Amino acid sequence: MIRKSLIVFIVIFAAFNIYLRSSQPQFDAFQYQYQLNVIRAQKYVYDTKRTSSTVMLGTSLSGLLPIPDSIYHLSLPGLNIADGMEVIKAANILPRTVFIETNYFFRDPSESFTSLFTNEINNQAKIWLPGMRDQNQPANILLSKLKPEKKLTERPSPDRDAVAPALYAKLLARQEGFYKQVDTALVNRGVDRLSAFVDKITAAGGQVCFFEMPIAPQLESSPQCVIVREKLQEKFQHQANVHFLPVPPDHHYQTTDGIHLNQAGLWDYGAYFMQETTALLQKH
Amino acid sequence: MLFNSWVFILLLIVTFVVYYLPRVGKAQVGILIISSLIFYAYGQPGLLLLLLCSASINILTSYMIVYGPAARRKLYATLGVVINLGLLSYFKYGSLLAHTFMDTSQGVGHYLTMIPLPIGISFYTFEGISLLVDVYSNRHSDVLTIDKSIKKHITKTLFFISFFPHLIAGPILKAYEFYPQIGEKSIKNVDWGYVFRKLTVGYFLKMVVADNLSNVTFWMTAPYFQSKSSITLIGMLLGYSFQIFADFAGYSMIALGLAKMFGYDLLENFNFPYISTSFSEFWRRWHISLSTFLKEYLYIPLGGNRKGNFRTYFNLTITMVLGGLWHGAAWSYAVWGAFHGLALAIERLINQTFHIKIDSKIGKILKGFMVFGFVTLAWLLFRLPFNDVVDYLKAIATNTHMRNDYLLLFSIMIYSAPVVLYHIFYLVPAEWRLHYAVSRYKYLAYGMMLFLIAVNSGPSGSFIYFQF
Repeated sequence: MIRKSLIVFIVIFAAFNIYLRSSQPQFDAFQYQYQLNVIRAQKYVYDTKRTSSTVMLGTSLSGLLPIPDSIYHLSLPGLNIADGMEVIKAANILPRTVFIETNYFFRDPSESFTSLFTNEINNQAKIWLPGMRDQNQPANILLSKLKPEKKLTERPSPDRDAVAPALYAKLLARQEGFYKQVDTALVNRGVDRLSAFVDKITAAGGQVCFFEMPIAPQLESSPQCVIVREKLQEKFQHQANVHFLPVPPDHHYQTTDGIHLNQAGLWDYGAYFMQETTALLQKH
Repeated sequence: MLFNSWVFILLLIVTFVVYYLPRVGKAQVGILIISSLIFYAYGQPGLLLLLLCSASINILTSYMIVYGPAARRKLYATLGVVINLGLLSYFKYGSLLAHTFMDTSQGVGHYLTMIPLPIGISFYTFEGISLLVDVYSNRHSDVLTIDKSIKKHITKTLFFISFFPHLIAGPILKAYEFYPQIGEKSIKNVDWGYVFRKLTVGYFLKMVVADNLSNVTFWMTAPYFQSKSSITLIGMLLGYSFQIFADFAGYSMIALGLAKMFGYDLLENFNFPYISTSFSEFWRRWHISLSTFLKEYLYIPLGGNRKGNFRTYFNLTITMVLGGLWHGAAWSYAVWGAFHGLALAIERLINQTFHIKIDSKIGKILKGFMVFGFVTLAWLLFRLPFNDVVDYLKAIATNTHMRNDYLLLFSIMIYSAPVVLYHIFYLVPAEWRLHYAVSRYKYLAYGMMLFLIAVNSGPSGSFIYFQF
């Protein structure tokens, strides 16, 4: 039985990989948030046909921001900017323009995530055997056939993901608790890490644009937000080829929990983002 | 070290090759001890001291019970058991006691909350206790003998406690089952069919089913679950029920397969538990090594069912409460154990009072669903702190108007399906053509499982039972 089982495995595995390599289908489905991150990162590192030289680094705050295909979405929900920087490092090609979400830029990278790209045997296996990449998981293929990914073409209704007021108040209060505290040492460490990355990009002729995702207004004036803004301005304000995109003043975006914009908010901010950055993208 | 890590595979290959080299027969046990200590110390070498300390206590006291002064046998046995329980209490329950009775912001209370939980301590402590109790009671003297040579006794006992397949998350070995197996092994006697089946199904359950489900059931965490619909919440609860089975049964199967590679038989730890039609049957099929341990070393010494009905119900409940607390240092585990204990006691009371026998197929199916439903609901206490459990149940009752998360439900459905099919196939009568067909073409299923391990594994995560 062992021999027969192994033969079955080898035949299916080989056929699957031959199919993927020869017809190169694109499956956009993912089953859960972490997998979305892995897929985004794997495509960035292993996809040799990637043409985009503009990248967006962020967290779950900008993870679902609608942006044009010309910008590669490396916002990783549940992970951090530092993880995105590690992915760029693993790909070994520097982008020309990098948009960096600033809200949580200071958080440390996830060791388990970044280690996905440090094992050379694993990297080679995923380059040569596309069946081993997460986007090509049979479950994702099935899912993409059942529910093809549709891009939003019109502004979603704000009621679509409305949260009950009592729950919203609870979630907001929780965030207010978090935003009261600032770990200055962590922020300073994050600035140093970011500075090294920005220097690398600008030294190669590229540009960086920091953007702050809108959150609930009462959090935007919290100690954490104030310190984060100050530290970034202090370090990068006068650096050449570094730009800042501030939160639009007096905005009325709504969030689902105090920090994540609802779908209508993402749509609106996405439009603002593109309007403000088009000139920047054209320049490069 | 995780069974699903590359470094473990490397250690396994090296150990296996050296173990079966010609003329190393007498050193085989020593090779496995060294590998086991590397396996345990990997990442946290400091923990090795605790393991060796625990093993030394069991080596010394078990030896003294047999070869020390006859009048002090009881003293040594008691001392050994008390030290084992003391170590377990200190490392595992210090934090719980501090949080319950002390000010944790300073002093002793703060100190107790800072004690780390050494991995596997619950398992190897129970194994040490089984050795001491069995040696003292002489119940299994036909198979369990303590060597006069202290060197041999040290080797055997250290091996019994540290053998890597069971070291971190069981199955919990009993000394009388393991000691008689210790000896020279030949590669010719390895049952490769058994090893292959156990490893394939075990890794499939862990890497494909449990690791994928764990990312879906992540949303059971507070406060995220409060924004999910009732159906999504029920779906996640079912998903967690299948995840915990796949995670732990998968681990146990890998452990059995690995032990067999080196010529050792470990006790089956799971026997299709979700087909159970009674609570007592569930506990004969779920985590068998723990339930038999609790029965032999706690329930029966407490009096079992020999001291009247009321005492039996009490014994059942207290055994399960302590069994619950064994899993984790939180009162929600004790409540989980109490639920199961009460279910066992009430089931016994009903059977004894009304003598109801349900033999019809529909009756059995309904009982099966009832037991599964209760067990699944009780897993909430494993997943969440007690207050969050109440909120979760409230959310199930109130979130009926919310939009269902179909992506999440889809994932739960496809990854739970193998566990459901695994249980259903067990129920298919052997005389049915389906049974024959599946048995004949089993290799297709194993080939497919290997394929899915290669291409559809979830992100590698540690095993749920590691935290116990």
